[in-house]
Amino acid sequence: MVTSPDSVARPPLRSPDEVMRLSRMGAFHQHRLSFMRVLLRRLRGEGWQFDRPVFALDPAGVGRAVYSARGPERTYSLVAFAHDLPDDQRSDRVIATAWDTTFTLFDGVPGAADLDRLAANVPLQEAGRLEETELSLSRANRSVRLFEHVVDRLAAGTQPDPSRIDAVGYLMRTTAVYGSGKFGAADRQRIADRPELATPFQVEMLAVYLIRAFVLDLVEHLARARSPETAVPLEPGLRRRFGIGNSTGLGMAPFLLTHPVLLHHWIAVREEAFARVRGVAEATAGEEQAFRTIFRRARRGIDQWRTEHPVQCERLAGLREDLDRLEAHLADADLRHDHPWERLWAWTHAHLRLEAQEWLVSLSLEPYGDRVDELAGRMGADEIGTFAIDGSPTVGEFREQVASDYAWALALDWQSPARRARAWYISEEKLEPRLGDREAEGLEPYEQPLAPGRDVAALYADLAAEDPATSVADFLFHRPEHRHAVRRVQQVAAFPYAEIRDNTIDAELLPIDLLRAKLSFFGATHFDPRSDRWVRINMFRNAPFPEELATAPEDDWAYPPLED
Amino acid sequence: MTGSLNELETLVKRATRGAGLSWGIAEEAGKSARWLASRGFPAGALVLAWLQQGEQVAYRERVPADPRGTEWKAGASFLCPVCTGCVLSDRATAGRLSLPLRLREVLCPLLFLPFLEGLSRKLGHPVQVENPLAGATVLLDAEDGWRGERLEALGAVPTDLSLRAQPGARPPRVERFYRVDWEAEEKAGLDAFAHRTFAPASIGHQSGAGAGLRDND
Repeated sequence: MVTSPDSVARPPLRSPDEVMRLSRMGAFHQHRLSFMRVLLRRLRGEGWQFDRPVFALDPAGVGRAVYSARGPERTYSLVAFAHDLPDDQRSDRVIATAWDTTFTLFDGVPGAADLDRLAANVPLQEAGRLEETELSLSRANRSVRLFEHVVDRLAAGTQPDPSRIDAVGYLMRTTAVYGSGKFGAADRQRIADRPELATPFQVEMLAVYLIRAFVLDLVEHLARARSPETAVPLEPGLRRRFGIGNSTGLGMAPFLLTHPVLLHHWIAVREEAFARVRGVAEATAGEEQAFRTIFRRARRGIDQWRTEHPVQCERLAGLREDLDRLEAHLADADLRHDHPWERLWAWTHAHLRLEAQEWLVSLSLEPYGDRVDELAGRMGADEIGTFAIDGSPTVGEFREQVASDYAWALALDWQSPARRARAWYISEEKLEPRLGDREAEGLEPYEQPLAPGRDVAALYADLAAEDPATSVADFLFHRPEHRHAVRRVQQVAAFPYAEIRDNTIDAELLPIDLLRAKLSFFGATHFDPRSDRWVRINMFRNAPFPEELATAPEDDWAYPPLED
Repeated sequence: MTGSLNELETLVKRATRGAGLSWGIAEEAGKSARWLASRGFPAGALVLAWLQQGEQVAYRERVPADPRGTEWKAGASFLCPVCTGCVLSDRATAGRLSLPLRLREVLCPLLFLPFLEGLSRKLGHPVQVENPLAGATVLLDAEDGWRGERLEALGAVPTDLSLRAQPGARPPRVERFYRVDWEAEEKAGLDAFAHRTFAPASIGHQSGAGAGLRDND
């Protein structure tokens, strides 16, 4: 059982053995503590102001723009460059070298010299260099299916076809959003003590939020340039239906494995929030009503979810079927008395599939912002202070720890080729993580340490040959090859949700499960795998734009409205 | 060119692995480089000198022959600052370290310093490391306390160090840096070591990133 410092009466957290399985993590959905929602709550709550000090685009939409977000203490500015990209050069792949638009989030408001320097670097993306004043680097490409349609319609003085908007969901999709010291940008450590950036990925989420605003302004600019006499702006309700897309591949997948302590904090916070809600003994009529309304809206979001990928199609069909059953169950369920959410969870857990179970976890937090939202401040982690190995346990004690936390790994037959079929490696071409066939492709010499289950099982076997009274310090002195696995075991002992309790090199591994887990914490929706290892999502769909934020209802955008 | 601490840490980790040390030690090297750079030291150049001079030396030859004693000497070579630092750190947390401690022939001794922070945390007071011949001294603690004298004398050549606890000393707080100044040559040298960990373009293409469905629509 996982303990918590909270004094709030609540049931125990769900066990890491249950939560930290890839099949379940690959069924996570966005929730109140997802980073996009945390960001917009803060921007609205603190009364951030937004302006557009530069918008210098030619009639073809080529040029630069600056969008500034001004908070109580600091200002951050999105610097956008729009380019003229031939259709045949447009690619979501990380190996692309040109994009429709490129961006950085600048710390402050850039001057003319900053903008010229950025203009020489940001459009090059990975091949350019950033300075300490830059916090992120990203790019986005047009959706060929939708972009031209929207420009055309607006130029002609009419609105775009809502069904075509819903079919795609965005005008552009980002294909990478880099932060944390990448390509010369400022280190996370440099800015982590700022309250507005304490929750992880706030820099990246702010950049994407402002990119969305820019893209909508861009499409209206192009319509005006094409036909100044007839062009109209997007109708505000329709405008909000555009999110910003994102196309994400394997580059993101190892993150959850290489940041175990951070992963623990994310999962532990969501589990704590869920346990607090399950601990509610009596719900008010308002809370019940809030849940029932959100249920209908969220159900609508699931109905709008489109995918062609066979695995996700099957999961989605199962989810829709399960939501029908849940809806029937809710029709006469008592959601007021006798621990209503705990009882609802027990029913869901017993009757529905993983997608629906995790959907309910996310949904049940919705009426309880006052109980759970403050947990967002606990989602960051000290990854340096948790790095040192403790040499003091005996090998006997340490083996018991391994046996307890890694029973799942010790139960696997690591000699079986299927259990070690894959290898994570970095390609010399683009310096990006890849996953390949260990034997057929000869990847073993280049393998990255991203198979903790296998490595800890090997450690366990070698520990068996030691005198149980030996210290871990002495063991490591002559077995330095186990150092990373020993560190891992000790981190997991202190942070039980730090480890994905599944085989990350298995023949059956679906890397999209890793992506889904991470993207759900961003707040992404419409998870649409394009293969077993890359995925498209939608971000900030239905969210108020910066100029609407102050007057929009608080944190009410993550599910579509009941009526258009 | 300037870079971030993150870039430095990642490059040093890969380069250390490329030089043949284990992933766990490579992680320590990356963290140590970050620690030194954040105190203004040319960490990249130090790491490169360390990797180049240590490349042909097996792990067993570069750690103390007998870490139970109060004088550490490598079995057949110099003491590796990072591998020895790991031994020191592990033994300190296990309460199996006797101070004062003499260390013979420590290669690139500045790379050993980051490991003293953990020792100081375990002891609960500052530690001092010195090379009396060169007149070099460092006093540091686990709260960013730092006082260094004549550290330029501690170059890349193997140097003797002596280490002891300094209860009651109060080193001033160190100034923190968040940028790395890269010399092109040292960057290229580390890149060459790191490159050994990357799969050549000729292999790994069958599945790679997974082409999947169209990506321009």
